Amino acid sequence: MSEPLLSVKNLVVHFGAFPAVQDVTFDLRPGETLGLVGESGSGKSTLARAVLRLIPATSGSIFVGGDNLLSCRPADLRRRRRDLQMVFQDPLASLNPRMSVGAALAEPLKIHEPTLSAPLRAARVAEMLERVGLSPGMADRHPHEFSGGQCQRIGIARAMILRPKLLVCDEPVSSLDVSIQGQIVNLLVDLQKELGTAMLFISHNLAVIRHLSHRVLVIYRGRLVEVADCDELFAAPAHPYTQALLAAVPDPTRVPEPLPIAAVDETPAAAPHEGGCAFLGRCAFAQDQCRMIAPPLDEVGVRHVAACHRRREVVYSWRHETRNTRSR
Amino acid sequence: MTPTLDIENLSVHFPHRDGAIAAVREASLAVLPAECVGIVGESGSGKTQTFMAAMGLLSAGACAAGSVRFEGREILGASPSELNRVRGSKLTMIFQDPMTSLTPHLKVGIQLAEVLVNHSHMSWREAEKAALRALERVRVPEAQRRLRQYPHELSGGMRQRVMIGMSLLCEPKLLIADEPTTALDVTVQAQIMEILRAMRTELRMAIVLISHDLGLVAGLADRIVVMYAGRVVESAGAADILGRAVHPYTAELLKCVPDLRRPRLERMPSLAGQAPSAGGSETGCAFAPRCPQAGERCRSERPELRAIGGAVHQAACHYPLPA
Repeated sequence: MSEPLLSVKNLVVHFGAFPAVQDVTFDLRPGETLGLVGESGSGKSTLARAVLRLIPATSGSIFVGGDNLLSCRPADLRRRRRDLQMVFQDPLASLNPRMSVGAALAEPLKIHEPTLSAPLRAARVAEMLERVGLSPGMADRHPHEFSGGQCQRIGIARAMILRPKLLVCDEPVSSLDVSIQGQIVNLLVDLQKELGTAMLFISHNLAVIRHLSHRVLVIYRGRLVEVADCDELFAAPAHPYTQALLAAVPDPTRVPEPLPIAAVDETPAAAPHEGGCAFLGRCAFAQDQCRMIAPPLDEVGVRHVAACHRRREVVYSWRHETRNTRSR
Repeated sequence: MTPTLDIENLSVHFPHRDGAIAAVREASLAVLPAECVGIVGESGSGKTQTFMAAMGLLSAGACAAGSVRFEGREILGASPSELNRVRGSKLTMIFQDPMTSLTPHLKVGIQLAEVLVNHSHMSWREAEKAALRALERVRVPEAQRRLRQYPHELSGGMRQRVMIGMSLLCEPKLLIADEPTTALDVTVQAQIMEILRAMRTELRMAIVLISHDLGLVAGLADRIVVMYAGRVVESAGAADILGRAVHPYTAELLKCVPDLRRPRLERMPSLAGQAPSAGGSETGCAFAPRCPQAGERCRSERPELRAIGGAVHQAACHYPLPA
C-alpha cells in the first residue's frame, strides 16, 4: 500500500479550555476519499480546519509528505499550501462578491505560479471553468449572478486549479437542493479520478458520505468513535452513535417507527462519570463499565475499529435488526 | 367538506426593473382538515412564496392575485388586523431558521406566554403555565429551566421545538412548516419529524410541509404537491407520487432521493441543468429544457394541469409517464 499523503497523529485542538478535537489519529492515502461524519458541534469542521492550519492546534502532529505542518517553517508551510486546498459549505460566502469569477480563479495561480504569463493564466482559468461545467465566457461575471450550484462549481474550480494533492470539502453540498447535490458530488469524484487528489470530505449527509468515501471516520464530541471501510461501516456499524445516525435517515418507503433512544435524547443529561464514555447519556447499550472507563478505539473487524465496550453486541443487534426489517 | 386552506389561481409577482417577476403562477391547491400535504420543489419553484402569500407575509412591493380561503373565509388581501385574528392562533407557520424567528433579547417563556396573552386573553400567570405545558408537549427536556433561557442558549433542534411548541399554543387548524429541518442534523431532523407526527395525531390539525427533499416529505404527507417554476406540475396521494409518478420532473426528483438500502450507484443521481430562476418568460413547459421526454410540442405549448387516472391525481404534462 502506498505511503500516506496525510498523516494526523494525536491531534488536539482547544478553544480556550474547551476541547473541540481530542486525540484524533488517521491516515489519508493519495487518491483516497475519507468521509468524516458527525453532528453539528462534534468538531468535524474544527478538525478539518486544524489539518490545514487555518486554526492553531494545541498538540499532535500533521505530516504531509515528510513535513510536520505544525512545526515547519512559515516558508515551507506556504509552499505546502498549494497542495492543500479547501471547498466550503456556503459557496456564495466563500467567494469575494466584488471579484469577477475569472479573477477569483486566477488569484491562486498568481500566488503559487508567479512566472505564468497572463495569456497562459487566462487559458488555465478558461480550461478550469469548462472542466467544472461552466462556460469560459462567464469569467467576467460576479458571484451573485450565479445559482448556488454554480457558485459551488466555482469554489471547486478555484480549489482544483492548482491541482492540489489534498482537497478538504466542508459540507460542500449541504446548502444545495437534493436534486443538485448529485451534480456536485459527481464532479468532485470525476476531478479526483483525473488528478489523483485525496479528499477529506465532511458531511452530516450519510447518503453523500456513502456515495464517495473509501473509508469513513465517525466523530462524536471531538473524538473518533468509529473508523471503517465505507461498505463495512454501513453494513455493520459497531458504535451506537453510528447506528443512531443511520437510523435517522428518512426512508421514503415506509412510515418510520419510533426512534431508538440514542436518536431521541439530545440532552447530555446523564453526565458521564469523569473518564466515562461521552455517549453514555444517549446510549441504549450502556452498562456499568461505560460509566467508569472511556472505551478506546478497539478492533471490531478487518480495518474496522470502534470506541465502544460492547461493540460486538452492538454490531450483532444491528445485523439482527436489519434482517428482521427486510423479512417484514 | 370545506377545505381548511383553499388556494385558487394564486399568482405572486415581485417588482423588478425589467418588469414584474412571477414567483407563483396560477397555483391552486387545497388542504383538507387534519390532512398533511407535502409541497416539494427546488429553490425558486415558488413553494415558499405560495404560503407566504397565504399568510400575508410577502415582502413589501410584492403583489398577489387569486384567492386564498382559510376555513371558507377569504384571507388574501385582508388587512393585518383581520389576518391577526387567525394568524398565529388558528393558522401558524414555522420556518427553516428558528433563530431568526425568535426574538433574541426575550426569554423563551415570555415569547411563548405572549402568544396566549394576545390571542387567548389569558393572564400572564396562566399563560406561563400553559407555556410550560407547551414545551413539555414537544418533549423539551427540563422545560421549566428552558422558559428562563434566551434563544441563543438553546441548540438548533431545541429552538425548532420551541417554535413548534409556540405554533401549537392556540391549537391551530393548520400548521405550515417551511423546511423545518433543513438547517438541522439528521438525528435532530428525525426528532422534529417525530414530534410533528405526534402533534398531528394529538391535535388533529392539518399540516403543510414544504421541502426540497421528497424523501423527508414522504414520511409524513398524505398527499404531495410538486411545484416547478411557480406552477403545480403534479399532485396526488403520497403513495401515488412515490410509486406511480407520471410527471417526468417528479420521476427525476424521486431518483435523487437517497436510499441507504439500495446498493451504491456508480454515479450519484441528480437532475441535469438547473431550475429556472423566478420570472423567466414562459413559452411551453418550463421543465422542457431539462426533460428527458420533451418533444416539440413541449417547447411551444404549455401543458395544463389535468386529471390523470383518478380525479385526485393531476399532472401538467403533454407526455405523462405510464402510471
